[in-house]
Amino acid sequence: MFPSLFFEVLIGGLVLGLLYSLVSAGLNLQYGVTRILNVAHGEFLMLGAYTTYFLFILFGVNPLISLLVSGLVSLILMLALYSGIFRIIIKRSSSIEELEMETLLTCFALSFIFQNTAVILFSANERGYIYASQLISIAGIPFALNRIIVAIASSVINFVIYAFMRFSRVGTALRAMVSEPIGAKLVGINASRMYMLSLLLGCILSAWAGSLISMMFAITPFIGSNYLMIALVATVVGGLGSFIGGIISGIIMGYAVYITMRVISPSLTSLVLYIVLILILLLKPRGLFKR
Amino acid sequence: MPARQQKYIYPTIIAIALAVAPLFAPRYFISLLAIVFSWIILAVSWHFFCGSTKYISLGSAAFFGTGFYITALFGKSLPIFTVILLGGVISFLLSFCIGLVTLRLKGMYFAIFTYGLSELLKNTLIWLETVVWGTPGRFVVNLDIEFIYYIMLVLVFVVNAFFYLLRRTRFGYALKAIGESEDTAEHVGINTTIYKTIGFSLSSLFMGVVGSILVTRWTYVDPRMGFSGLYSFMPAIMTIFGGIESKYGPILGAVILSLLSEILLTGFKEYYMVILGAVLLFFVVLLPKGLYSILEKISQKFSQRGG
Repeated sequence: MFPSLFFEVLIGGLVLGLLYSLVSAGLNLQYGVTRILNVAHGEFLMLGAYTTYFLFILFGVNPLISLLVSGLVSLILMLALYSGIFRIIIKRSSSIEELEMETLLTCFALSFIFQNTAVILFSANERGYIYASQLISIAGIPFALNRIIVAIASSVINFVIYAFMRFSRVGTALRAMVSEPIGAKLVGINASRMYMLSLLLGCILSAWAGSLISMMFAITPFIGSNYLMIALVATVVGGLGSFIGGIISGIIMGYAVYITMRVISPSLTSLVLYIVLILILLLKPRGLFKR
Repeated sequence: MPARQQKYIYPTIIAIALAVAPLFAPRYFISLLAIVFSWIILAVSWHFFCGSTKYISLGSAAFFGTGFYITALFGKSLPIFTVILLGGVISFLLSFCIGLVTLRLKGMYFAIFTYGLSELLKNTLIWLETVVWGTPGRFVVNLDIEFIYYIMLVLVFVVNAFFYLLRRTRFGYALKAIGESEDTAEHVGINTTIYKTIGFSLSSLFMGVVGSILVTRWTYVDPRMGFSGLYSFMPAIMTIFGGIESKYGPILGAVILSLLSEILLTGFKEYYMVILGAVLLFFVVLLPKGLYSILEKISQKFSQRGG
């Protein structure tokens, strides 16, 4: 019995972890570059999930193809929010603390608005569709095919984002904005373009995670908050603003959540999350991966 | 009449009117006022610490909920005033311990920590209730609404006077100095850790007291009610809406937003959070100094014209 549980946890935790790292990579990128802690990040995930759901239910669009649409929808929304709200606050703030606090409150407000607009439009009922649910067996343990698709898709996205951040010129500029904001501006990096870019990239990642989630689990207007909380914990564990740390700690969180759910007790899942958050903040507030 | 005495006329009239209100006002009105009072206390307490030090706490629910659950646990076995006192004292001690270890966290980290803390307490209690004690919630002792009303009324005046006076002491100025620049405050010899911790605990004390009284409005409660995120966000939202820089800001914000909430919750429940979010968004983006700053400008204009 033990080896089969081991393999199940190994793969199940990885699937969750890869998804979490998508969400937390986006949150982390946004915070690292702009100093905006986007607590409305989860709502972009919810939006992506509903876009994919409706495209599948109404038009039978393959969820993998609708990733394009869900990414586009949240890109347009974030573009509107950036030019209407965030750009104004960024320009106006005289200090980082002021910017952080004002945008934090703004994002809470946005989160209230999106979540409850979704309740009004889509109702609070759980929704779901069936896609690629046939069981395939890996090492003698049955897994639904959609889990495997999600794992592959999210590792591809994670890898592409990693490569983009590591090797491309724009990615390097983004990383420079995180580690040396003033120096980056001095060497001629267009800061406001980087702000916009990081917000857009972040919300696309979140929307994609949402689309992938809708393939496996039922969705409600409130799923955003759950994933936001996990992403926030993963981000704090990896260190706010540390991009690679965010991806790694996303996977760690995936295992932590899966093991708690599967081996210990599902009722303890959120308790474990918050204990991890509090302990990390108390012992290593800069995150595990920062020296 | 000398100006010094004139200053006290309006508060006295308001106090007398509120004190006799239960004699003729309908019960619904009294219970509504009691709720408004409790929000005023929460917002003013939040404002005292977070407004002066600029440490934004999103964990008021942790202390409100502590008081809330103390009454839920002991309300039937101990006399009510003991329980209320206990709620305040335990919130104070809890936040004192938390403050000592966490107030070195700054800005974002402090906000995340306080939010995480209230969620941690909530989830621990949910787990205790459902798994260990085997009940989803518990029945609480009920108090007469007029009794709640009078306690809240007294508390509103006590809390406002207390924080008003405290602001004018060495202690209050020290907190303000920390908010202006913590490094400078430390350099001039202020023990920032102790001052911040005590300031944080004093504001939590009253949140605990409010929680331990307000819980008696319900007959059956569970941890989700006491530690609801609403109690974490609303004091912050109300203060910012009213104006974080003025001592009247939180009162103004609490009165307007709690009345608005009451109207929206009875008539348009599903639009409540959307409208609340929109109000907050509007004020943070366009009027970051809050409603009180506009009122101040208008009154200045009038007095200029008059003089």
